[in-house]
Amino acid sequence: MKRRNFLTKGSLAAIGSSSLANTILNLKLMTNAVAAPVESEYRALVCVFLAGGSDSYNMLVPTTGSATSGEYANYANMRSGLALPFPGTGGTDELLPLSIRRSGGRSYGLHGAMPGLASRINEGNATMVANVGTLAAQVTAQQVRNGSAAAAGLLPRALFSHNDQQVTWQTGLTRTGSPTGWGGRLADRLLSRNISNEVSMNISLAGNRTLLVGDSTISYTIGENGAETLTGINSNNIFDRERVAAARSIVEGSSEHLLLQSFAEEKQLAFDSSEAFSEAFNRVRVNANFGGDRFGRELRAVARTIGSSRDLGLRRQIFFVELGGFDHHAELAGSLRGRLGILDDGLAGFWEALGEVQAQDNVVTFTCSDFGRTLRSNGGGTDHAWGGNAIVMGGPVRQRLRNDGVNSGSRIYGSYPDESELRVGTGLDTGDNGRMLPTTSTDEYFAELSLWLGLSRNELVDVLPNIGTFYSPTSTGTPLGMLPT
Amino acid sequence: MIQFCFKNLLSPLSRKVHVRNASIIILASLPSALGAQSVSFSTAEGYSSGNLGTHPDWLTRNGVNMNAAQGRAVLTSGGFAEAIFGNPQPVITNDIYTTQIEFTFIAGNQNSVNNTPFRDVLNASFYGFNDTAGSRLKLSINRNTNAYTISLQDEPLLNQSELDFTDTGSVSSNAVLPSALGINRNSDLQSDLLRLRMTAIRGATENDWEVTGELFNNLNSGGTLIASVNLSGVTFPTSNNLRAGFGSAQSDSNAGFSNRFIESFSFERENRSPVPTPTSSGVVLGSLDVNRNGIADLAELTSPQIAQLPTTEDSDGDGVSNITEASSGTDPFDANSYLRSRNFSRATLASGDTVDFTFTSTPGVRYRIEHSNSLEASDWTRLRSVNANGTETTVTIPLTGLDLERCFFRASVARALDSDSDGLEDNIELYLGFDPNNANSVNSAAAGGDFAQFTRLFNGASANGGEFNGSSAGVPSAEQTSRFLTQAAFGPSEDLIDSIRALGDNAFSTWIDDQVNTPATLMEPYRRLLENRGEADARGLSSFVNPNVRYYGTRFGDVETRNAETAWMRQALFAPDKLRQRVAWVLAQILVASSENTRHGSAQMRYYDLLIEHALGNYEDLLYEVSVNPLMGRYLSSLGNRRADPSEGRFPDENYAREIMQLFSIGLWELNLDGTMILDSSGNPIPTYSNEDIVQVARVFTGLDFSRGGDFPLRLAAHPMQMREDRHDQGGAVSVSVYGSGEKEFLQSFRYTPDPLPVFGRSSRSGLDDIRDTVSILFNHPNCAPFISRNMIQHLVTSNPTPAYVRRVAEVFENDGTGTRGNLAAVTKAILLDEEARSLSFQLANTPGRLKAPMLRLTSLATAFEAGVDNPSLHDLDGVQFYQHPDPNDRAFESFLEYPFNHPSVFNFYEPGYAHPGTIRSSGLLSPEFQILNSLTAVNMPNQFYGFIDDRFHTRTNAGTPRFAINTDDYISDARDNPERLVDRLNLLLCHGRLSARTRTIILDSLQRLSSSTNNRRKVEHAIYLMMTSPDGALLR
Repeated sequence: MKRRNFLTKGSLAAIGSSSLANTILNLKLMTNAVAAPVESEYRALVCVFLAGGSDSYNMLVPTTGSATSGEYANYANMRSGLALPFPGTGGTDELLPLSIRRSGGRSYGLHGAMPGLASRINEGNATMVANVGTLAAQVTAQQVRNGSAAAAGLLPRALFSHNDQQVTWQTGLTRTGSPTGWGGRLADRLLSRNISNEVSMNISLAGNRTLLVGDSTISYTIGENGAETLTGINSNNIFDRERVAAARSIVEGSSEHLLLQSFAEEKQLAFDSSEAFSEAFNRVRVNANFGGDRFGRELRAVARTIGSSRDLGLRRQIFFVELGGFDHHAELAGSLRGRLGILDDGLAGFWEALGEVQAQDNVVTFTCSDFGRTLRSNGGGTDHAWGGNAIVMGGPVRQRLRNDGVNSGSRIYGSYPDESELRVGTGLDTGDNGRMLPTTSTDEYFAELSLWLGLSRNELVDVLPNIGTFYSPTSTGTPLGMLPT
Repeated sequence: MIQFCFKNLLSPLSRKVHVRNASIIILASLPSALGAQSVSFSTAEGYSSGNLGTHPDWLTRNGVNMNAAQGRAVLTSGGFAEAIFGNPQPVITNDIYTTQIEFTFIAGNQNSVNNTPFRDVLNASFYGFNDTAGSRLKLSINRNTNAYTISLQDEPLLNQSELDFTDTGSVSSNAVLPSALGINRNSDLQSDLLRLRMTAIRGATENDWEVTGELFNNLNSGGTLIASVNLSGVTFPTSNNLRAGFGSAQSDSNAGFSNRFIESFSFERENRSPVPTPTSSGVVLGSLDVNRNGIADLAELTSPQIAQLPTTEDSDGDGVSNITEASSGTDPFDANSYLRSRNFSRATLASGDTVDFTFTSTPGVRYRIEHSNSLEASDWTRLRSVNANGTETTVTIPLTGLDLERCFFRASVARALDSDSDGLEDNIELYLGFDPNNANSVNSAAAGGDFAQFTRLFNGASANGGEFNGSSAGVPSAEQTSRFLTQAAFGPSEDLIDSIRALGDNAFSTWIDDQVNTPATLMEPYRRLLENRGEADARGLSSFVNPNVRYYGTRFGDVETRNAETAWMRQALFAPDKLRQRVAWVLAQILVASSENTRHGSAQMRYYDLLIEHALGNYEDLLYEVSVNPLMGRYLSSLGNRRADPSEGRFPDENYAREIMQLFSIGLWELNLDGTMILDSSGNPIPTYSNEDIVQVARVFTGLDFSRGGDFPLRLAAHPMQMREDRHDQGGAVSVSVYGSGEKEFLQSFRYTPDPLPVFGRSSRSGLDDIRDTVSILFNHPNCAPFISRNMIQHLVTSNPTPAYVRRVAEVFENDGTGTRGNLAAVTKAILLDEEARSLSFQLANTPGRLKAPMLRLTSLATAFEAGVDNPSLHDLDGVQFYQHPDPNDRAFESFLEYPFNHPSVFNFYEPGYAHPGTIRSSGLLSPEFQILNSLTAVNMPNQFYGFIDDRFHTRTNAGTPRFAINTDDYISDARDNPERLVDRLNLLLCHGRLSARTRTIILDSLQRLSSSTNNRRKVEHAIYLMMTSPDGALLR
């Protein structure tokens, strides 16, 4: 049976039918068989998906004014019992002040459970994108409120439904379904940057995710310990050897039955790639502390994979990690504190680990979420809303700031709603509970990240079909002005 | 089929002859009542000159003169001149009429005469009614000084006004058309060989024709489409006949054109009276007829509708009767599928030459190639025989010794091949995954070999347990029973199979009825045992419950989720009401209340018992009980939800309101009864509810709270939630809105009342009545039947039910036969006994079936090998992560991604609409269980199973010497002495008899290499592992 190059479905793989292990061996010989730091031209995107709809208007909070005046007071009024304490007032989750430049005098604070991120932001190694969300067309809050936008078909489909919006953030298409994600389509166009495409450049820590699926790119799943290999694969016991050999042989058969054939192919892929991946992965150690949660361990696996990228021949990668538990219909305060603590520990450890593999300037980590949450509470929690604030972390953020002449602190990108906009029933509210109309589209957000990863401008529309509604690829700047290219 | 050969086919210009094989064949073989007519004329057939009107088949108007020039027919006429080939047949809806004319022309002098533009290089026409009235459709290629156009025009006869539809199709400018025609290709003004084709399909009325016109350049074989036009809704009075013709508006005596050379003309009708939707997965063949109904088995298996076809009719109108098609290897539903030859190309023929004869063929069939000089039935001589080598077979025939003046060749079916002489034709073996070259490829000789296996698959592949498409009920085979148990329960064991078969004819139906009447086995006794501290102490379980928690008033332990997981396993393996337990598990994956934020085993078992109690009861009751259950209340945050108080900025939580609609009753999009989405006029799906509806329904689910005090676990577990009227939104009664194309009732009476004070005037209603009403409204919504039915079918039988299957089940949901809606027992029975669940044709087809989910594979392993039967209480396994690989670093949940009570979200472990990227998704199929199959679980899961098989089902040994291992004692001797029988027995339990020849060979060869070992138990485990992790074992087809 002819061995198929099924790790990438198209014909873009550079290597022919030699076994994967031999390929990696050759690469190792080229690089002196030591797990080396990433190559200088390596770039990776790490998507951290906050599942459930994170209450990000309690992540990034306006602190202009005082505890009783200005933007902060307006915020506190809108969020009533859920408002976080003004910096210096000593309450639980007290806001951490951020050093934000070029903000026209506006100031911001970060949820008290995120000191690590606050440090990154104040160093300039991180930022936040304000009020970003899925948009199908440019509409006004008024048009959404009075129903005319919906009637004209201008809204994203199934706006407040978890699974639909999670998929929309991953496909990049707001009004139709798609078999591919923007990360997969992006990878399709960057495959040629890699020396070897035998191991997929798109790696998921959360199982099958549409974000990473392209027309020829597939998503490769690993766990917190990397890939798994079949039990007994290195054993000398005759039963183990027979078992492994027979199991592999069985899935090399072909069948006309579509589900059966897909099952066999999936197993074949896993069996074949796990050995080589594990060999490279297991040689990389990072010592950073990621906190005690599984999320932190998954980010450690991402860091180790990044550290193996040279051995694997990968120069462009996209990762997907998920942290759940953000659907705070009830008990928002404590639960959000817990989740953000886990997120912060994980990101802090990840930053440190990237330093160990010398990849801080090569990796951009960014958050996505189903949606933001209502400004107004339902008592103890909040409900599904729309625009929210996203985190972006990486050396390239700092590089862009320096290029733009900002030598300390950071900036907030996008447009954070001002006092007249951050309202319930008016301003940017699209209903009567404080569901902010996004002022930055996910198209622009993803386009910024894609251009940094190396997508050419004239291919933007292939990855993000609706980008033209919000940004012209021929314009001179990047959509958000946040990353260098 | 017949192939003509001619001497001297070509004119001196050496172009390819277009001999219209198909039309000739049909014409020659059909009785006049059917099918297509055509006339092809060329110089070879004599219509090279003269007035066509003299030929009996033609009617002409204004005369059409054809002169012979350069060996071709030349059209030279003035004015509108058309020859009409009459079709006296009645015009029938859906029939396709095609007229086609092949020609070349010379553009000539481009000056106009009298400055009038020239038109009509050539046209093809359809005439309706008669030749003096009615309308005419004319497809023409026109020239207007330097510009060419193709147009489709509807003209009243004799009135030359054009209606305004002209479309140049794929040619974007007139500058391009001349070169596309081949003008100036060789620096001359002669066009290439062109083909005008017009097709008309009649709709329901004569005002509803659809017409397509196309212009091809035949320079390359097959032709390149240059331009096309299309019209629909055309009025075309045709009454009794439709005629076709060709002609030109211009005479060649005018400057502008000189010479139009006519190569051929044809007019055909294709009969397309409606037939059942064909499956047409390939050709069928055979004489094997195990169920003795006169129809070849392979035909029945690949085309389920074939059994209903009248054998002597011709359903696809291709001229070959259904029974002939079924027995000769072609598809009776596909008019393009019949034995026929391909083009037959040869420049000149002389003795000593060879010709290549290509014909459509069926793999696994042997053909005779025969020759005749006269086409007389008795005058055919066999030249040679050949086995088909694909879907088209080419034979090279030497012409030595043949009379070349007139010679005809044909291929006819000799017989179906049975290469291994096991009684199964090669074709059938290939279709089933058997090896056509090995008589015992899937079943040992001692057990009857492949033929016996085939027969066993046949027996019981129907709802009444009888033969597939058989005439009577029967006792199902062990294989079909094994498969049934994997759908209806948690997998087979030899005992379970025997007990069902012992029920006799109609065993499946009898068993289902018995199961419905079997009392429910609840988790409750086990739960109480754990809650009762004293009892727990006595059984040595006290270390597994939390001793520090006291329920109010009683010394209770805190029963944990892991205890509930044990309870689940007990139910799945040992409860006698297996059908109910299986359905409860399905419902647990629809009405999800996960342990995600509530790891309290008592509450979880209490909730699960609700599902068990109502699993074969009424869905409306279940939906209500779930809505007032405290575990669900906490999970989807309706518990403690209070009516709005704007002064405090507090508004009702929308979580449960959203999910009860999106996931538990009606779904997001309006559905037809067959589960397909209803689309609006722009082709978009229609939402069932709006966000406003959610807001309103959220108001209903206010006021719910714990019904008693005490510890949190007790409060959570003990009773349904109570309604606190002072916290409930009292604003009026409930009526419903659903938003979409149906009725427009709105939640109008249910408006928010700004006054937060309780309104106690509603003494006759409580908030629970509001909830009951809301549940009732959602339950009675037209979506509920298809939404729930389809979901259940996907969990039990197949990921891709046909809409017809969904409809049949949804109809039972709507009315179980006694007027009751939502009868889950009736729905379950309908799902399991439906043809799509039982019929062998669906078991063998390429798309039905589903990937078995991890817990089903796990419980099937335990059931098949009687794990734990000596310790059914499984007490000593409490307190551990129940199904865990002996390696403590390996967590079963991460390996399986499916684990009772541990749904990662309310969307379950996998979603009904998931389609795995790649072939599955691009084929338009769904595959929910694939959502948890990825490169990690693809390795972890078999590793877990290996651990369970090789060792046992649980990990830690701290509770004495616990054992929950599979029992392989009964297989040891076969492992030692008779590996084939070992594999056959395991095939029955793990693959339901569907182990493929290839996989079986790999396993047997592997056992052979291990034969020197004396560890026979390990051999058994080896075979079990390979079989259950193979595709044949992992998928249920």
